[in-house]
Amino acid sequence: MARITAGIATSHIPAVGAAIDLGKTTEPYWQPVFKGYEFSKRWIAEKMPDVVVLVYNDHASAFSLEIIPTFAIGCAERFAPADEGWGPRPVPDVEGHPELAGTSRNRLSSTNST
Amino acid sequence: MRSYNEAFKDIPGTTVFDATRSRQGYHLNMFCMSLMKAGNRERFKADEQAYLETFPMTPEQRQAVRDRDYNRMIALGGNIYFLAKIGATDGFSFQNLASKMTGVPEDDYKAMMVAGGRPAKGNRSIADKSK
Repeated sequence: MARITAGIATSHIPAVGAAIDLGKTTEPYWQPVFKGYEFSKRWIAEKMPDVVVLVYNDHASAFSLEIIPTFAIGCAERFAPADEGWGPRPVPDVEGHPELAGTSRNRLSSTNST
Repeated sequence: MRSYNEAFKDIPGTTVFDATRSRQGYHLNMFCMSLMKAGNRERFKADEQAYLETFPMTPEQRQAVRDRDYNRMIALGGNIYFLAKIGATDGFSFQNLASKMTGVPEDDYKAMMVAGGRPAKGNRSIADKSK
C-alpha cells in the first residue's frame, strides 16, 4: 500500500518556464516567486518521494480542440516537453510510471475493479 | 433571472470561452495549434496570408491574426491558450501579450502583478462596480 507523504502546489504562472529558459530568475520582477521555490526545492530534496503524481491543466499543449477530455491520466513511459511556439523547452523528459498510472486508471474508471 | 450564459457577459474584462465560442473559433484555434511545429511556423512567417488560407477560417479571423489584434481574435472565438502560440512565434512574452490586450504598458502591467495583481473589488461585475 502506498503512503501519500505530501501535496505540493505552485502559483499558476504561464510564463514561468520561459523565465527560467531566458535566465530571468534573478530579476526583481521574478524574484518573489523563485525565492519561494527555494524552500520547496530544499524540502523536496530532503523528502524525496518514490513517485510524484503530477496534476496540471493543459494549455493546449497535449490536446487541441479536436479532443478535450475533462480529465485524463498519462500512462506513457515518458513525456517530452511541448513546443508551444518557442521550440521545445531545454528540459529533460518527464519519466512516466506506467504501472502506477495503469492501476490508477483502472481504479478510477471502473466501479468493479479491485 | 439571467440565464447561465448571460451572466458571463457581466464579468469585466473577460470573455468566457464557452461551447458556442469554441465552435466559432475552432479553425482559428486549430491554426494556432499548428504553430507548435517548427516547419509550420516557417511557412506562416514566409507568407502569412497564404498559410492562413490553408485553414477554413473567416476573412475576419485571418485579418485579426495578421493585425495581431488579440482582443479581436478573442471576440471571434479565439482562446488565449491557443493565441499565445502566435505570440511565441513572434517572440513575445506572455506579459507583452497581456499588456497589448489590456492597453496597460508592459512595465505598468508587471508592477500591478508584483503588487498582487488586479484587485477583485470593483472588478466583479460590469453592472455593479461597488461589488
